[in-house]
Amino acid sequence: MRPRVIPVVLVSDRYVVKTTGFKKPVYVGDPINTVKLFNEKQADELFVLDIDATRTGRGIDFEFVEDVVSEAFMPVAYGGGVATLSQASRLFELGVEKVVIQDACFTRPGLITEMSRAYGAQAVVAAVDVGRRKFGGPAVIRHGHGPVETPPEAWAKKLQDLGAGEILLTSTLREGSRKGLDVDLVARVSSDLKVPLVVNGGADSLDDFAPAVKAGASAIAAGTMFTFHGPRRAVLIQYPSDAALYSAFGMSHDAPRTARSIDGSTERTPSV
Amino acid sequence: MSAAVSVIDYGLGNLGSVLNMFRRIDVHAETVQDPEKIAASSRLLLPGVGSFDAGVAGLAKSGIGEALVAAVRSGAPVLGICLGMQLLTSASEEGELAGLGLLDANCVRLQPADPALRIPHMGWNWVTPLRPHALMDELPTPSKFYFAHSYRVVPQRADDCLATTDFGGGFTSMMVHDNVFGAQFHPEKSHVFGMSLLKSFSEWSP
Repeated sequence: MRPRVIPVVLVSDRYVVKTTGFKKPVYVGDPINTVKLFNEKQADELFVLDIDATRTGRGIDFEFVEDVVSEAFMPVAYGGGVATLSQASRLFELGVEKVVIQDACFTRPGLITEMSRAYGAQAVVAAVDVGRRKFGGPAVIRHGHGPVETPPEAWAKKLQDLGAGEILLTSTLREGSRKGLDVDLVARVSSDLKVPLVVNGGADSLDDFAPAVKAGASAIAAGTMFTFHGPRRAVLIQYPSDAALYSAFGMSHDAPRTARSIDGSTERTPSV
Repeated sequence: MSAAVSVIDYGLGNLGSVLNMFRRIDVHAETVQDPEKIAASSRLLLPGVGSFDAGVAGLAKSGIGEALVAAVRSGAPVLGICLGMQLLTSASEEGELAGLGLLDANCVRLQPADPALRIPHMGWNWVTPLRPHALMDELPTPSKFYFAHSYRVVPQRADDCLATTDFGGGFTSMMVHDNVFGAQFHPEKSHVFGMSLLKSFSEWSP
């Protein structure tokens, strides 16, 4: 199964923005249009993250989410201001596939367990943003509050054990930089993890993908790489072809021609 | 003249995406909660996102499950998606409660032999048909669909398995028996492939 490749669409006040190191948001375009384009290009999935919802206390713009999701015929994970079960419920009703929890990981970790029990682990993504401590060493960052004591790998494992079905690991320093994915961080965080790990921050080209997967990532997320083009960073929504993605991971694009053996049949062949 | 597809609203499952896709392919679909309407429906879809027992409880509430069984027994085709498909079976390792028993199958946890394959099985994967079927007539070959699950169905009869998918070994990704059809993946999240399958389902005469 080919690892997933997921565009990240950051939203602020109903506009798509791009940040660098989570700062200096730059206007990119209209979210509906952006999603339409990714849909046309058959992107595997989308992460739509509202970067203002928690900070401004504005909460979730459900009408906006509905408009955006109605243009996507692939899975959309939504994050930004998700703090209660009823909000999650409403998001799922609108067509959101997964919710991304970030601030609530610090303020209400029990919410992860509640959501996982109610909707299944696969519907809950825990976002782990990693920056650096003042004197070296990677650290989990809580936005508006600074670095946290718990090392990134222990933090991710804690969120997994609480019930998160997926971890979105973002390198805040590399975000927007196109300096390459933090493969060391991936190796560190994924080693003790059982659930899928999505790495985000710094992807520059298809060449970055395979090493990250080899280090333990299950999926690659990228914003800048799919949004900007060229030295002058002109806005251009792009997404590689399926064949190019298979090739990037060193996999054959050929689908199995014959069905694999399954159990429950007279053959009794061992399977999954 | 094909009637509307009744998309069952039992509190679980993202109705929004299912309705969106039906709208995009010009198939009339509407959500239904009322058991009488469900029992009288001529074509039904049971979506599902969440845990097995939560799903069973949702169906038991207000008699929705019973109404679905009645509709199916009177010949209406039904498509169960992801958890929806699992709820059509007899039971699941994930929960304690009984499924609807409309499909002779039970659900077990995915346990791929390869430790590098993580659970939930999440992402796009190939779906390989075992035999021709009207439901797959329009499907491009090969077909990929989006999966997001930790449990899989095990049909009692090999004949009921319509298509398999490989995840550290093969598992049943589509099954059918008479007028009851189930898909483990999410057609409503699988753009062109999903649209093709839902279109076929809307025209299917079992």
